[in-house]
Amino acid sequence: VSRLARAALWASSASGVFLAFAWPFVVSADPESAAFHAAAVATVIVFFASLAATLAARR
Amino acid sequence: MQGPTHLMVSWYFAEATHASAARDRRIVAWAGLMPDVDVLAYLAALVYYRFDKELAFENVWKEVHHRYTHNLSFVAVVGIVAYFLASAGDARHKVRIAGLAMLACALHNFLDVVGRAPRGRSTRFGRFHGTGWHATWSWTIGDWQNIVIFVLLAAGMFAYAKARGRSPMECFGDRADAWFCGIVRGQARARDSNRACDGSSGGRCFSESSRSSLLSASTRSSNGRAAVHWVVASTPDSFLQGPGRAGARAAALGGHAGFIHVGRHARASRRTGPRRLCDPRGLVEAEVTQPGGEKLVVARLAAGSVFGEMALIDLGTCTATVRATASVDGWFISNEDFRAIVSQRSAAAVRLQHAVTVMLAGKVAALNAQLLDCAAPEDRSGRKLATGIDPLAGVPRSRRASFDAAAFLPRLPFFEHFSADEIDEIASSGAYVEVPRGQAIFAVDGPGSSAFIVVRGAAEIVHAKAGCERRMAVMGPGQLIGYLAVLHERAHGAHALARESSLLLDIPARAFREIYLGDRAVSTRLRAAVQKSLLASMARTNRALTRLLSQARLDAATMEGKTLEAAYHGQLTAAAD
Repeated sequence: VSRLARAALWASSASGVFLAFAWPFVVSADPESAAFHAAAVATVIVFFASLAATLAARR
Repeated sequence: MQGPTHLMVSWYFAEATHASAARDRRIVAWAGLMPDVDVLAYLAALVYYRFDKELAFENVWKEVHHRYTHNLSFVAVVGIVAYFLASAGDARHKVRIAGLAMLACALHNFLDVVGRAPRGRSTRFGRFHGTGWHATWSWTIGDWQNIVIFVLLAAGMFAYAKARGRSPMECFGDRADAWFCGIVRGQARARDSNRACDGSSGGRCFSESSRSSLLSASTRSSNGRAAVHWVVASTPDSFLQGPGRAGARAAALGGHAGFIHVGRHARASRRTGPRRLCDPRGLVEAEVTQPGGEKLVVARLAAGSVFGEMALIDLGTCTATVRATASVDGWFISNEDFRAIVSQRSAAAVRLQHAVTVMLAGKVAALNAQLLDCAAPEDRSGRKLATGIDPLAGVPRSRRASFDAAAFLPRLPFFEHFSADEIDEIASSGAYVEVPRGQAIFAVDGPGSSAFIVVRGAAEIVHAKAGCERRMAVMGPGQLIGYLAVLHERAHGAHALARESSLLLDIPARAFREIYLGDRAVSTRLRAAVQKSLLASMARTNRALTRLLSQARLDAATMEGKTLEAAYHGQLTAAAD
């Protein structure tokens, strides 16, 4: 569980950075797109959930 | 999102990614808030426009906010600053902290995309500079999502402080954190204390009608742990003295230590609070049960004595019963609180953990001295062992072992709780040395120039005295030897010889002390490993002492029997005559 949570934390962090700085260049320059909206909110949820899980699982 | 939300998120992120030093966690946490540093421009504008909020907002805040500090360029600047501010360590450590700081700063930008859009205008977050990416669907500051996130993070601060003894308050300094954790954990301890004293927890109360029992052999509370773990029958001031910030040390210990009074009438009270001083008084005696059930008082402790410290390191069954023979005032600290303190990795925590190590080392030395004073059947005539030299001075070391030691090290008991990186750090600080059977590793009065971890083979620790020598221990793979001389910066007190052809990891004294006294995760693990090694030594010496005592009693009984038998036969002889 700890490894999974840590992996999710790093993945969501990377995803957040990607969405903030690379998405406009790589995917779409339209910030109103539903895909961007859904991806951003999902990333936030995964980030906080994995952060909580990682801290809870820390020895 | 709000500034406090960013600060808390970044601190939790630093904690979750194992930024081990408090300074590094602070750097990462503040790096996560740094993009909002442009608020200073608004404050300056307020002053400039004589507190006309409209003018300050329209002319400065609206133009500046999210323009210059919410972009990749600023993230890079934050990373560079973090690199130079990171706590002392090698370049790899600094790069890691800089990377975490940059990530925290970049995450701030991302979280602002989702959760920071002032009503009436969209968020602008930059890519390489602060222009034009708009997300009209962002949550505003006052939207319930942002409120929920903030409340959860704040609640988590209390829960984490209670569970781990650390909180985002660390961003404002060790003292602030110790103060906050002390309040949170103090309340929990007071509740536990009340439960313990009214018996509802299933734990023991600390006194009997006339002789109060503080620790009881083979007794555990309902949760399987000893009820009291460490009691100083005095104030903990001895641990608060020394170089450094006395205030920080006081806060670190005072927030966790509790005051205990054990009276004569089945009444025990525990209070918590920072550095409540009391007159050191009281007498306790420690007794053990001999083989055969006989009780033996092994120590009488007066004011200033410390006992129960072994339970701080390793939870388990108490090996002795400690009873108060008079009313005792003292300080106690529970195992959990001790772990919380030492996990802070602050200077105070290092000092406290080292104090326990020194205490244990002193007790082991005293026990060994007692043991050596008793004649033992295993004493043998002494070999000619050179003293005052370093027997391995000319022996070549190698960075690589003759076999794949790197894969083998994690299996050694010494590295039980170390991560792969930490094992690598320990291994890279030393070098391997092969010693043939019978080769001396270190000698009495020889310089404590290295500590050794036995990787393969075995080493025997030998004490020589008055032409006799006694093997005190045989240390197999995964055991640490020679570390007390290194820690105390003094000569070795015993000989160590290779029992068989062995491979040792030689950690030079300077590197060992640097890691041991450091504030990184590996330092905490090394200190814990040293303490466990001391506990093992103490257990070994205790077993040997008990064996010798029992042997002496049996010998005495035999002698008495022989005397009686001689007397009996003497009577018969006299009658015949």
